[in-house]
Amino acid sequence: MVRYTTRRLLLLVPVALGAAVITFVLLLLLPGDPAIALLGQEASGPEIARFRNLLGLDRPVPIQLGLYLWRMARGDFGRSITLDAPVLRLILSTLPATLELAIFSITLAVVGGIPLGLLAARRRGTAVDTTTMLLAQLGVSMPVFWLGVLLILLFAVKLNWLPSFGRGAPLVAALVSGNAGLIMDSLRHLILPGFTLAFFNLALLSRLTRWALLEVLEEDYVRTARAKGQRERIVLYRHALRNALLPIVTIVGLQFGNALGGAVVTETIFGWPGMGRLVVQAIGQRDFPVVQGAVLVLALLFSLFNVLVDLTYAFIDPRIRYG
Amino acid sequence: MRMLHVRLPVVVLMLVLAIGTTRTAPAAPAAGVLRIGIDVDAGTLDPRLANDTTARRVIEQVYDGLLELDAQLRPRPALAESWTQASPTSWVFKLRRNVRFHDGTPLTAADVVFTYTTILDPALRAPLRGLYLPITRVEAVDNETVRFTLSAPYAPLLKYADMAIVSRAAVERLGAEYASRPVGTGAYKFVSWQRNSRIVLEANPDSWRGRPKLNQVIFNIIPDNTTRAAALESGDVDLIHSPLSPQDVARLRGSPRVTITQMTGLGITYLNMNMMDPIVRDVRIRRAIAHLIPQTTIVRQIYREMDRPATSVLLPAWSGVFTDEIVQPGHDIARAKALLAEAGWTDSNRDGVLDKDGQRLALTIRTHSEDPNRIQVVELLISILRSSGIEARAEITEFPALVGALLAGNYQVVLVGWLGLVDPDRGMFNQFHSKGTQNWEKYNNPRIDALLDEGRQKADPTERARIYRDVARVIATDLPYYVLTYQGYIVGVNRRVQGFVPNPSGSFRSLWTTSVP
Repeated sequence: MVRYTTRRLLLLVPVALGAAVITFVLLLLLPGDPAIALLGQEASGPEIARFRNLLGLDRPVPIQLGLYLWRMARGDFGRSITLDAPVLRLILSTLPATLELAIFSITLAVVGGIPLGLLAARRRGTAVDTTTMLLAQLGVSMPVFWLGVLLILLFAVKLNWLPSFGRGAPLVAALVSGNAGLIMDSLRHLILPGFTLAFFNLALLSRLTRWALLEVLEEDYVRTARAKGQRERIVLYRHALRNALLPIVTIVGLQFGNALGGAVVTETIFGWPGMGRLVVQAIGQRDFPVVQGAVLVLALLFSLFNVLVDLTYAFIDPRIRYG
Repeated sequence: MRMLHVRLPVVVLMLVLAIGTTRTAPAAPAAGVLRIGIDVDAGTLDPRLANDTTARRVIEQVYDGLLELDAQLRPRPALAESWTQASPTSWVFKLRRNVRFHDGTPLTAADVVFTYTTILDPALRAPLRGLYLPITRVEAVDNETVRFTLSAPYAPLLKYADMAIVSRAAVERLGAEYASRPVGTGAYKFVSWQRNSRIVLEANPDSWRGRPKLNQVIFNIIPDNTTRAAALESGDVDLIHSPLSPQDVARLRGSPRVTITQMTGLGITYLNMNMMDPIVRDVRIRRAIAHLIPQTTIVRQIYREMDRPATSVLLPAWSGVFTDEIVQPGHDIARAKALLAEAGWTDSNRDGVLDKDGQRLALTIRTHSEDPNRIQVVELLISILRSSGIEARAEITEFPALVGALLAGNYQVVLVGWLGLVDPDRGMFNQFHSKGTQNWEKYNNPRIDALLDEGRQKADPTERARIYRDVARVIATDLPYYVLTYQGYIVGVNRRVQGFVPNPSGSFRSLWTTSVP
């Protein structure tokens, strides 16, 4: 197990290198460069040329790439071109908000989606099943921006229950402080963006759970368990669900990665100060150092989470052993 | 597995509802605090480097310029209590006494000299450096007097002398950090800046203007137009302004707690026509395009009358200069077809596309992806041009890519805009002078060059008006630009906010007299 984990963690090095090189090349292929983005329409040709020189953008590509990898290897993420601040500081100031939203929404999706799928599988063919799956269908097909705006108009404007935008106190800090007011403030700000981001995953998980359970419930060992006279609840939770969990955990792992990188729309709608928005803005403004640094951090987080998912398999299914 | 019990979602739902319905204090507005909703985060709070509207809105609270522009764009005293033109190429500014920066150090002429000298230094990369290039020397005559020497008479100088003055000592002490920890002389002091979230300012009780009425000003960054409008409607913010979506503005007008003010701003949306392009260089083609544009329909249907149909390159805000008697070619399809035929473009092979000497009449209109209204306009124009036998195509890219194409001259027609045109010189010199830095279309007309040079040198308003009207008349005929709209400027304010005066430039200068009871 230790050897396996070490090997998987060492594999993160080529992943980081690959992510760094691919980001670098893709940015080179984008039309328009940081000099133009920063100086804007007011700039003249010679000023842009001077600025490109200052940024080293006029050097041969292999040299630019080499210098960039060397900086990254030393942990030097550079300085943002448009935001006039160190890239690492920008990442560290936005990453907690993104993680908070991602974890909250995945938690919502798991605690909502799996029980709903279970319910639908247990009551297969009944009105409960049909209603749940209709809701799930709605969830996977509803565009995030539309759902977000709808929720704001209903809960913030019409009912005036929840704030329309922004992040409250950081949830972890609020929980540590034990201050009920702060925790409340944090949760009130999290609900709408968290649910918006969770809805698709919640729907997907409920469908997946229902499907996985129905598959498992057809298996011989389930019939044996029932034949032994075990209570339905034990059959369902101890025998069926445990076996159905493997594909579900895989999907949850992948969804967490998506929630990290794909929260951009949600972050934009709710004015959530996360890293997704930072990256998209940086791409639009050709702020290369920010894009490069942020993509690297996201790629590493995503890979790290996949390692964790693989390790959880061993806990869920005793037959899986890593050597 | 017990944790996955079916009852869990019910518990979660109840918890969510409980949190949702317990309306606690945070959203309740506090007296003396103004919460602004703004579309983008500031890039930098160093005024010399700032190039986005949010940065400018924050900077005008934290800093002061030598002078500032009122709602009619007239210069009025700020840090300079008076100024005189010693000669056609020399201006002397007398500074207000006993003004202190937020760190307690006194403002002196050396700070003014430092601000302008560093802006002119190419190494700083100041985006607005071009506006100050006619300045050859800035010197401190004494502690309270600054002299500007120019290479040639430069009438618009006073319009640009609202550049915020930085503290030399703070810049030297903080280095690059100055951009995120600004120190100015303004009515509000910088408190904190959470990237992509909020910028907080507090009253500067020692401001030379007197103590501001607000204790705190919070700029909340809310990128989505609809959310920003919803935040004003729900009372989560007190003030929002352009850019706003027409649909949201229509809804806000019906909201009991909001006042909407609409005025013509200092921006234009225009078609830039490349004079070096083999097709577009023919003035008959440019006029035909102008005749094909259903300007009023676009303003009504796409901009929902937030913008106004433009008549020429003259802005209505330039009082004394603007006249609606100078007009560009109007919507006239028959005239457009006649002009195309006159230019030799006919459908010789009856394939529905006009051609000449075996070449098809192909036209690409470009714009940028950040502005949905501009994309709609381009799509509409494409369908109109196609129905008139032009093989039209749209090309939508991100803004940096579009500016790259403009700079390289790699385009035929581009729909884009200008903002902050405080003076006719700002809206015409660099755009139409053959040596202009933004003359991407390569318009070259010696008469226009002479007029624009003359406009810079004449201080007399009547003469300047005549000159710029002459320029506008020629541009409306030659059409290197077809100005589609005068951009509207819209402000939405919660009714409990008092004393806020909207300014067509988008400025929030009046915040120091604004109050929230």
